[in-house]
Amino acid sequence: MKKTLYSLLIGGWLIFFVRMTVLAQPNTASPSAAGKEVRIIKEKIASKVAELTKQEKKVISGRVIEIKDDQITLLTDVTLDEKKRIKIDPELTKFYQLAKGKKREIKRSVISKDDYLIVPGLIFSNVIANTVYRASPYVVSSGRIVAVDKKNYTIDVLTIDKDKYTFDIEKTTRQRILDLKTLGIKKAGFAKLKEGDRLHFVYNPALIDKKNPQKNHYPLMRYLIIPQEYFTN
Amino acid sequence: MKNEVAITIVLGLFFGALLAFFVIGRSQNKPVGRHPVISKPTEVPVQKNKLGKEDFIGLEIESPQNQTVVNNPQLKLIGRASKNSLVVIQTQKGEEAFLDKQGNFEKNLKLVLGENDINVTVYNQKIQTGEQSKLLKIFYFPDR
Repeated sequence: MKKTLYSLLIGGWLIFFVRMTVLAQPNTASPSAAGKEVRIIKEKIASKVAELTKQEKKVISGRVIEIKDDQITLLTDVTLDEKKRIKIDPELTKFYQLAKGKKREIKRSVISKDDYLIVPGLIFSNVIANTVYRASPYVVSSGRIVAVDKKNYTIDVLTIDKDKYTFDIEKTTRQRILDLKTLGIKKAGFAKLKEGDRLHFVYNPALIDKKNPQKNHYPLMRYLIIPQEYFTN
Repeated sequence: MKNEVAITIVLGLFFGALLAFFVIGRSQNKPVGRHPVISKPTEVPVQKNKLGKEDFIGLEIESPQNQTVVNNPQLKLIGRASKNSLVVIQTQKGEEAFLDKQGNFEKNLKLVLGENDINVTVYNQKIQTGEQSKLLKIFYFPDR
């Protein structure tokens, strides 16, 4: 009788331990866990797609240094002497001129050495470029005025990289100065330029004085003067 | 069989089953993320600047990144500079200058078709660190 009683008691506890053993196994097949896994995989795929899209949106730009039948070589970084080759297809590649915020289709034959080109969507140099834009190059930089030539309407500017430039101030140059009272920007003239002032400027490197190219002499497109009094007052 | 024995057996089975169901219920209510299916990404500890945000000196452009290609001509420039810096933003089409009292600045810029070089410079009157500049090259093509 006692044996039967003990057997039944052990049987009751056995149910409990069997359930516990089942629970101890990792529940990888549960719907919530599977859903989580699918979501993570989806996120990873989306992230990869975004990365590839970003790569496709890469743009290279630079000055043309060589043109061959189906290939144009650009100098993309003057300082590092970095060159990039772009492949073109007479049927596929379209060429546009960018000017005044608009694009106009041009013929491939118009492209010549020293032109500034922008090529979007190019990841590898052996991929044919779909679109090539020709644009006016310009440089945006800043420096300190080190000389003012009132006779010739030129100024010398020394940049933070110790590059010295001579700029012509022309009638078309947009001239601005920082108003020290309001810290706003107002119109300026050549008379406002003086040695020691900081200058923020924009110029077109294609318009270099070809008679003296070593002199870094350009007409100035626009400038903003930060008077030295801003730092001393 | 005596009555006491029968009751003991029934109670033994009942409490065994009850305990089993209690443990099952608890384990099923646990959050999904704790299942060892895929390990949670390890959180990288954020290393704070020694100077702290308040004492930030210099220039940092948070957005956009250099060489970004956008299809919208409106660009929001977000950056950080030391407090009370004079921020000068120069582009091909214009220039902006303003005093950054808070040490965080935001400016909406209008882009031109193609390449946009944006030169951001900060000047600080009080701290003799000189000027700091950053040049961003942003490309705007509406059909991309």
